[in-house]
Amino acid sequence: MGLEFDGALLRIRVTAEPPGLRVEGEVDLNNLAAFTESLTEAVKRMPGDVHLDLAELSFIDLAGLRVIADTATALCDGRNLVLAPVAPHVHHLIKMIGWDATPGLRLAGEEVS
Amino acid sequence: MTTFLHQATVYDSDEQFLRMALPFVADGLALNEAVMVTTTPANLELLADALGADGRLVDYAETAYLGRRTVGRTTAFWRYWQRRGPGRVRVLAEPVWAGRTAHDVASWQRMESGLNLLLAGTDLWMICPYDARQLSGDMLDAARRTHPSLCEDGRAALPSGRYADPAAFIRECDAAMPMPGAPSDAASAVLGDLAALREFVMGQAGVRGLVGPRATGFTVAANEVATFLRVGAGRPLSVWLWERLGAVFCDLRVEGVVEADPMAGFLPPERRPAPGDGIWLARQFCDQVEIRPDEKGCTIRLRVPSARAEEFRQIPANYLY
Repeated sequence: MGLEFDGALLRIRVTAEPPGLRVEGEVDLNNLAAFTESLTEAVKRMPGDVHLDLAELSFIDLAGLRVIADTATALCDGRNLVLAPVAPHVHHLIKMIGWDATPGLRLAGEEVS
Repeated sequence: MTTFLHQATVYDSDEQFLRMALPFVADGLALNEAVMVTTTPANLELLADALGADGRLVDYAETAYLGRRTVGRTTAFWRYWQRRGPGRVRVLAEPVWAGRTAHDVASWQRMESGLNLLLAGTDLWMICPYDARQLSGDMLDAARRTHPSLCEDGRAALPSGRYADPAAFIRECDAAMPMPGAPSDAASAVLGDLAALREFVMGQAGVRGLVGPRATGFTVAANEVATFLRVGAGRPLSVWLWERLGAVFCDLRVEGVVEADPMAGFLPPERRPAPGDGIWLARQFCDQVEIRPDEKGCTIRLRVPSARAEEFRQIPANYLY
């Protein structure tokens, strides 16, 4: 599993099956640029749905959540950004803000429409 | 072109309440407009009896539960407008005033005034009833100062001669809610980055018995506030944290100029970033988020319920957020 980014607080690995990224650690203002770039590159490189494994994401701020929502919106041709599995507090934040309804975003535990 | 109407009405009997509320609601239903009523259980019952079968088309809330805090209230109105607009959307909104602390009353009056700014781009028509049987003359005066117009019959409105510019009214409210510094028993630190702040808040929350989602929410709030204050290289953050009956407090302070909109963070984040978005998120976890800029810097105080809050012990925290 390739290491995409390795920072003091944040590690991002490429996953092959399903194709996507595993994000571990904490996303805040200081590593937002690296997080954004990893996501942007992943959706460019990978055809079809892109999966984000956020089970070990121990912290993410609002700006980080916005990057996820923006990445999902930018996908087209029926592609989705699939968040699964998701740490409970991250799931809760996305629902609280209302970004679970973002086009192109699929949040684990939600019915696929 | 949208027109936000924000009107107060003062009533001192059930009959007078209905003389305003019934035409307001019935006209809306007749015009196929969305109508929400958020008031006391007693007033909801009055309306239910008066409306009969037509009442089934009215959206409603027992007012104490539509926004425990001011941010919950503003967010609820905003989301109702988003769901039921565009076009005229009617809301009859009577907040809870009885039993509140002086600070809470000032916060809610501040919000009433702030609604004139926050909802200016909507087509909401909001009438806020004030019960003269229960409220002091000062409270009724504040109603006239926070609403541009007054409506007695649910139809026609007169300008309120006492209406105050919201920015001025909000400054007055903040001045009436002085914020003394942190007490001497507060844990304190000067921190250089956000990760250190999260560790400090998580650790100090844990010492005070706040763990799990409660601690995470507190940490999310502190992190968003520090991000708002642009903590980072060359801009250290001073932080104090302490506990009293009913609350854990956290003060965050930076030196230097901070542009702080006094109504920041009362509406939920949109997809386009806005400066107060993080403050809205912080407000979801806090009973208070006080933003106090001064000549030298800016202090933001967070207040969350402590680990001894029985309500949170008996009901899953997620439900209460």
